[in-house]
Amino acid sequence: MKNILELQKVCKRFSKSDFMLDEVTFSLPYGTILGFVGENGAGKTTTIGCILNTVSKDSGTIKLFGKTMLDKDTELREKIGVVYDGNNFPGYWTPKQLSWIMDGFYKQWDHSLFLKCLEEFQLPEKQKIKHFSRGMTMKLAISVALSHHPQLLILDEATSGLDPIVRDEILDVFLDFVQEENHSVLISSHITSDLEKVADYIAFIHNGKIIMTASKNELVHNYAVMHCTESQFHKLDTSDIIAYRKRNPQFDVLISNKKEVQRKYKNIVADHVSVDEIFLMLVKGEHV
Amino acid sequence: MKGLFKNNFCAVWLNAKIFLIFLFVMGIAAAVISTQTLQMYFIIVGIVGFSINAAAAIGNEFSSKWGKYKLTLPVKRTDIIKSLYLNQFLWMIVGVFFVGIVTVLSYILHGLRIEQITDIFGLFALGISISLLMGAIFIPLIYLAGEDKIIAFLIISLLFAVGIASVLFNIIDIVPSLGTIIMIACSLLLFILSYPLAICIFKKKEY
Repeated sequence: MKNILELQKVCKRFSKSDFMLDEVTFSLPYGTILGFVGENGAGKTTTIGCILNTVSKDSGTIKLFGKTMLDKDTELREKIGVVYDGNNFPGYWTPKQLSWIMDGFYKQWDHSLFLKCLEEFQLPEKQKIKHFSRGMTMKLAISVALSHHPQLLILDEATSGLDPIVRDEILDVFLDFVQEENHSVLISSHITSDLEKVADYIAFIHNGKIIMTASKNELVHNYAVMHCTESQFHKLDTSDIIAYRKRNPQFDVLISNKKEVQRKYKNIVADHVSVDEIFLMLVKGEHV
Repeated sequence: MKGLFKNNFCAVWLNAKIFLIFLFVMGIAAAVISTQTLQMYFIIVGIVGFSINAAAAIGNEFSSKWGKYKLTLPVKRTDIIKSLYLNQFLWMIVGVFFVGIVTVLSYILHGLRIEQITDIFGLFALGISISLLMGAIFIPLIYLAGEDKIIAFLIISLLFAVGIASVLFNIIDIVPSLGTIIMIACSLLLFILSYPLAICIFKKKEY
């Protein structure tokens, strides 16, 4: 499978803090959505910054469309749509002015598509952005990101702080976008339920390190949490345990081979596990 | 570059239109009322005012994530800086034109109010010099020390520019005819030299 985005051992250290990106590696295949999950301060924005060259990496390689993107590679940036959390554009502009300005940046800027997006999202064309609600500003940013016909959408916490209805609308847009097989979406979020709805792959980042990357199908079908007593826990094969948490009087054990484990330990219940729970187990749980 | 120019124009125009109204009223007063002080004041305020507007507009961009967002657009970092310098220069030219028209109008109505023509050129040179020097200091400074301190840096840049321009202005007293050219040339040189410095700083800037 060809990848639209590839990160290999990307490292970034900040001189003024202890935080560092530690060999971040993941890839995003064409035609898919990758959810980038991590708590606040885990390194999601820094990783996206490295991808988009707003932050310079110390080492590692990042390939977009098979190429390393340098500052001079404006042609590559034509193919990328970006949405940041919060106010992406100055509040004193109107969407109409924004379209006029963007037309000067992008060769493929499509004003009629932009107007269509505004209409679909019910955004006023002539109202100043500073009067928009948070949901409206995010919808506007997505409209801009889509209106130059990009192949890759990169969204940094684009759904955080939005109500469930707006979030659902926005997620539908992403699903529509990847209907074209050469389109992909990288979406970072700490709202894992959103990613569960749309993502094909999920990468978990914690303290600047990727702790797991898996396809959503794999997480849904193969991952589970076993609830066992202390004696049952001690009898488990350590190779079956990814992480565990002691919750008196029982142990919750994260496993990645549900069917096999269920066959192996017939008297232990293995429950379906959400992405949220997997993330919690990986971050808060203990490892054998 | 087209997008950057459009962006810069929109950012400056927001305040420039208000300033233009103020300057228009002041220009009428300067043309109609026959006082040398007002005329002198108008020349300096007109030229420097447009430059301050242009510089302050950079700050407006950082009230949102636009400064960071721009880096994800199909533009080079060098072009972003280049557009700021050109923008600064163009708005100074707008100021010179505007003030020039009013000065000519005033001359037609009342004759030359300031005793010597060299004095008028000297004032124009002082305004141009302050504008160029302010841009030369301000643009690298905000990227070096932080976009969140725009107002403080704008004031510091303006005060420094006035200080340097005042020193250069003394040359006019020594060599009146050549002094104006030397003053503008020195300011222009500093403006041009500050451009690679700003690029160097901005290339290392992380958001």
